[in-house]
Amino acid sequence: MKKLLRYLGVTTYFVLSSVLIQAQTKTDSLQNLLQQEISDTTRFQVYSKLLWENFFNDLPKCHVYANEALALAHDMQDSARIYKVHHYWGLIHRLEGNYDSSLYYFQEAVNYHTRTGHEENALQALFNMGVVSSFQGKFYTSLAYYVRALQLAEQKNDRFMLADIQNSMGIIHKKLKNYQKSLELTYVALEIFEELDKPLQQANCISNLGSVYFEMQQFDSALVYYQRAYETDKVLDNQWGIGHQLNNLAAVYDELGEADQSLEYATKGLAVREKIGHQREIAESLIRVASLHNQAGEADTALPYAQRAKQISQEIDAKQVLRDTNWILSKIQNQLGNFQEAYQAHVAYADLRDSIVNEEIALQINDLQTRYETEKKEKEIILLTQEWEVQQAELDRKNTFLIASIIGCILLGALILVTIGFYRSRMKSRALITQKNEEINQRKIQELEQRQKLISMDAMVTGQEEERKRIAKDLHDGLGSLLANVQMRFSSMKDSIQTEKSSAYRHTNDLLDEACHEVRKIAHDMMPGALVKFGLVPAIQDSCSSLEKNTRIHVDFQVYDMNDRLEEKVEITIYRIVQELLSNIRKHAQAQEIIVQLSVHEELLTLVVEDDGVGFDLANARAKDGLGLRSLESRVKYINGMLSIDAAPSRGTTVTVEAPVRQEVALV
Amino acid sequence: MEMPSEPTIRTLLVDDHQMFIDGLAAIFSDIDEIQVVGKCLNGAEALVQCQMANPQVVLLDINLPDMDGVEVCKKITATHPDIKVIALTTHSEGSFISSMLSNGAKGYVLKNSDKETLQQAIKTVHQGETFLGEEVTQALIQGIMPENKRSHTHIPKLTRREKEVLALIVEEYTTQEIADKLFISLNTVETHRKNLLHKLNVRNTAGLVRFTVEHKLLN
Repeated sequence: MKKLLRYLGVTTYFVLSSVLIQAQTKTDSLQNLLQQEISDTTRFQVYSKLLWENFFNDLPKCHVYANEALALAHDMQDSARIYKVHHYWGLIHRLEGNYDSSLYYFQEAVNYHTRTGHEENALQALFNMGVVSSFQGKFYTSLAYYVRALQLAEQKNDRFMLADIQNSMGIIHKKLKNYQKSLELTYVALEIFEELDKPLQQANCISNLGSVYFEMQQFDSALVYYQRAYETDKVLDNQWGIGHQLNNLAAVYDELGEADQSLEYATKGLAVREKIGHQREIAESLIRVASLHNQAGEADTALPYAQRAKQISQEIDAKQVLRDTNWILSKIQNQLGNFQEAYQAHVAYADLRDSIVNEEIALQINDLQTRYETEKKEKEIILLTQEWEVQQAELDRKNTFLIASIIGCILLGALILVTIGFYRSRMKSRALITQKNEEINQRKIQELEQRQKLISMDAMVTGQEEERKRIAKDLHDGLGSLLANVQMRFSSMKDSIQTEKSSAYRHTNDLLDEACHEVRKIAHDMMPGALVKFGLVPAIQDSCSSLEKNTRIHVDFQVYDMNDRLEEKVEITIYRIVQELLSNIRKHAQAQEIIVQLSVHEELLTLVVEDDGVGFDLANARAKDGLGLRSLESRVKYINGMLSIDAAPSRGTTVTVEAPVRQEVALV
Repeated sequence: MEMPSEPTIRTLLVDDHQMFIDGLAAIFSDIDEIQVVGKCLNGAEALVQCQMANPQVVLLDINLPDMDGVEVCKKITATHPDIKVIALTTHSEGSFISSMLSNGAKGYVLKNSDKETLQQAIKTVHQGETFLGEEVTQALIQGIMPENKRSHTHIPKLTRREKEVLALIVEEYTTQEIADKLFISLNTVETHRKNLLHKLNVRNTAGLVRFTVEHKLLN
């Protein structure tokens, strides 16, 4: 329950700073203007004004204005104005919650600016794309947009946007649980806003700081910040902020065990929010009040609040709020002794939770893809910059050399020699530089090709492993369960079978037994459940045990400093390498004893597999590739590792694999 | 009424396959002493039912759609110490078995077990004892054996490379010299050295040398 409340308390808000209303011009008078004879340019301006006027009051009207404005811009064949309308559409869709459409229009706006060579003007659109992506829960994508916007804001030296973007990035980092990073960014934003004297934005930053401390469970610090934000919002008469801070304060007091205080703030917050009329926020406050009453043992009082919250969240179709509502309802009904209702609410809660989790997982997979690509791109940029710097250094060195030789020649007083020498050396260095440049270009191309290869290999292998995991799970859970069920039911008929059929019964039962084993074995070979669930060490332990069980080979498995789970890619690859090595030893080595050893030291994973078998001729094996050496090599390469094989005929074999524990670091 | 004959055992079934659960229930329907008090298709439901249906024994699948079965088992046994959990699964690997048992399960039965085994399992855990099927016991012993060996005083096996490194350490070569001599990186030498310290349970290079000489490791 505590946890749920914590989430409610920190539903962070975004100030729609990019769409602040400028002045209170009257919509009606503007509309009157449209009736009169005015130039297209003025007409377009009037539409823009009308749009800004109505973004927060009347979105349907905005649709009309934006359509009119778009038609007008097309008539005027003015691409700058067309882009402007695209930006408006982006904002409208953002406010309406049509995030994909919103992203589309903002992207169009960005494209326009890139085409016209003024990328810096894409700042607002990029920032909005960051906001929209974060609404969608695509945090890494959002960060990527913010970073680009931040660069542009720096370029334009737009202090306000610099602060706004960093504040927003802080929120994302909080959601990603990078609390330190979040605090840093928000403090920077706060400082800039203080400098610019923007109290509203300051209050926002302060409230965000509070919520980060809240997440870090430093409730005392959170309390201080929330109170500061509350005071500021009161001075500014920012009702919406006040409602928000009251809800936050209620959450903190609840955590601090001051139930009376908490209830008082929650009730006040509810009243403020009722006045503003934002349905989702009202529902959130209702849930909090209901839960506090319920905690105080006043389930009767709590029930109507929870029921209203349920009604609202169903009306506005807010899944997360509805989930929380059902949770609290089940608690309340349970306390009231209405177990049937409690159970129903709990089931509804569990359903919603599952579906939300599933949606989040789908989103995260997409988002991680973006993260991966962004990191790749960043690395490329770093590489290119480094190369450029090398070239520059080269040029600098050449220049120094030129100046030195000129001075030397002047000192010798041989003016002609100087001229010739100068001329020659310049020609030479030019040729040298051209040659160097070509070499660098060549290297760059090779590197890119290599990288491309690695990327496609990575994608292929990842896809393959994912598919294997899925099939293994289907086999294991689906077919495996089904067969087990068949056997279980079949065996329960044992008593009712006539004696003359009993041998047929036994035979069928044996076949079923074998089928169960076979399915289990196939699923296990595809992707062992232990690897997915418990990680590398238990999975290898299982393999070693089963080898010992099925052969007379003794396996000594030793593990040092492997306390954490590794990246999935590394776990699966190392597991497959061990499988392959063990199977080779079993088939070819005639070994008595195997040592399998795993250890981590200084971020480096070392795997040693050693046997006391007959060994083999490495050069010979390489030539024939009979032992799957190549597949071993490519697996090791896939995790950026090093493979060393110490083998010779009539002597045991040692295979050592070393690979970085963190794969993304390894690529740089 | 010292010993009531065959009291019914309130049993809760948890598995994400409706058909499997129904099959189980059908089998139990003609066993008088077992009363199925609930069928759950996921972990969350199981936790609620443990509260409401008041079961004495829970038959729990490990693969559940919403939560990890191991987690569910841990939660149930933590909040209801008197409820006995039996894992009913298709996984026969030692790692699954030991993980369930160390998280509070009192029994571990494979899904293709026959009616008698299931009945036996439920009765056994209900009486407060542990029940593992024959195959399960086998797998468990196989999995545990190496651990036992390691915890004894005998010295773990050294790899060939470790012996080479150890020999050079004993001969007072520096890390750099060892790396040069064996054509391996400094970090690799360090890894070997650290693993040796672990294996021989000594604290530093001096200890390593003393242990090597005392136990004649390199002979």
